Amino acid sequence: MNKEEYRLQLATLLHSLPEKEREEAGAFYMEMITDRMDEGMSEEEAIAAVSSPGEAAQEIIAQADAKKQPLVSFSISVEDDDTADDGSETGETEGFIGRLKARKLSTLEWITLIVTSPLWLSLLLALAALALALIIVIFALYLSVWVVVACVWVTGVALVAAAPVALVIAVWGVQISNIPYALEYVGYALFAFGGGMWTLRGALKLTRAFYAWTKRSVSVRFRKDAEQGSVLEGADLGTDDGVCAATDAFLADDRITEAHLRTFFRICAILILVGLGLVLLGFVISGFDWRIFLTSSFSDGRMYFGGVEVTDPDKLLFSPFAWFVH
Amino acid sequence: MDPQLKRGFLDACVLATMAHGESYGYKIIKDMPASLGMSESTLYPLLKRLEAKHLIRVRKAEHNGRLRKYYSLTDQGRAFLTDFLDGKQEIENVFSFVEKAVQEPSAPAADCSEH
Repeated sequence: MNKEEYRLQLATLLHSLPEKEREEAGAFYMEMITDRMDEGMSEEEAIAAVSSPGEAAQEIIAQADAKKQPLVSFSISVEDDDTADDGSETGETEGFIGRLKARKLSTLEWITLIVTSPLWLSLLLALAALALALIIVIFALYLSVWVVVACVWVTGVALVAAAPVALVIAVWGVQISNIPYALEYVGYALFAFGGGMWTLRGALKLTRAFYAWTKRSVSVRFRKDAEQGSVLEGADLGTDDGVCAATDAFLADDRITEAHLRTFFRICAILILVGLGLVLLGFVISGFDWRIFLTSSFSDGRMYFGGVEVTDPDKLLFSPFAWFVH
Repeated sequence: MDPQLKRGFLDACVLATMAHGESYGYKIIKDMPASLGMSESTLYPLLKRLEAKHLIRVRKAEHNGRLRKYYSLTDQGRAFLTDFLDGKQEIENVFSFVEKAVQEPSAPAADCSEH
């Protein structure tokens, strides 16, 4: 690894932080490496002497996480009944609620409480129902965002999977000597592959962004024996921490740098444009014949691919007709 | 060592490396006692924390045709070191108490059971 690779790897690992902080951290480590090289170390030795990009990123992210305040914080109290009573009985027996908590009401108060129960019980139920409804709505909204993200993933996978199918159809076009039709389907294949890859990249980014948002804004804490002050923290909502770690490890791999990925996606963008160009070219070559966009079969068994009749469907490459029609 | 305690000690040590004037990243690492195991990954967030607490100030200056960051103590940083040294007696008291308790296990244990 050389200095530039070190800097790129660190920047990749810190992708969740703002640009400014990434650059600052990069500059710090570059200075540490260069200072060692000025003292006579080789570039390799200097990089081996400083902390690895992984360690560096871990500490920086730990500090950044510590500064963040969650938007929503659930606190689940698991209190022992005994300890709770011990603590509250001494001070809180004054006032109606206090005495209710301590189960020390006068007979008259008990009777009033029971007689008026249809009133306060229904009000309490209504309030509880309202709170429950609100929680359900929030969770449904949250879930729907994940569903959208899942749809983007499915779209990406479907597009990439469609590319080889389109290529087979392009071969059929050649087999029935319908070149414009073949060109059109080669175009579709390139478009589907390039577009699919971009969609998958978008899906990954969305997943990460939304996961990071979740981690930042929701914290679940389990509180046990609050009076003794032993608070267990850090029960994060995250279940797909492993997924993020895996993609990070994949991105931090020496052989696949950010530069490689950038080149790959640039090629995908070119594929999309070339694909659209080929579809257009097929249309132009056909003499602007709209029929090249049609694939039709009639009830009497005749089939047309882009306006040209398929005389021998069995002979097509991977022909589905050879399997079903005998 | 307890991480919380170690963090306080590390802060003081890093500040102490700037006691005789400004210093820079690699020099701080070299000046630190080896037993504390200071690495870059620990130093970077630590310096940022000290800067955020206004205990140090940072300036960029040219060195060998490149920019290098130099760190120096603020008045608050000096005050922190003075306070830290004032705590020396307290810390020693704690250590000698624990030491005594461990060496003579019977006497303090009997004391504790009374409460």
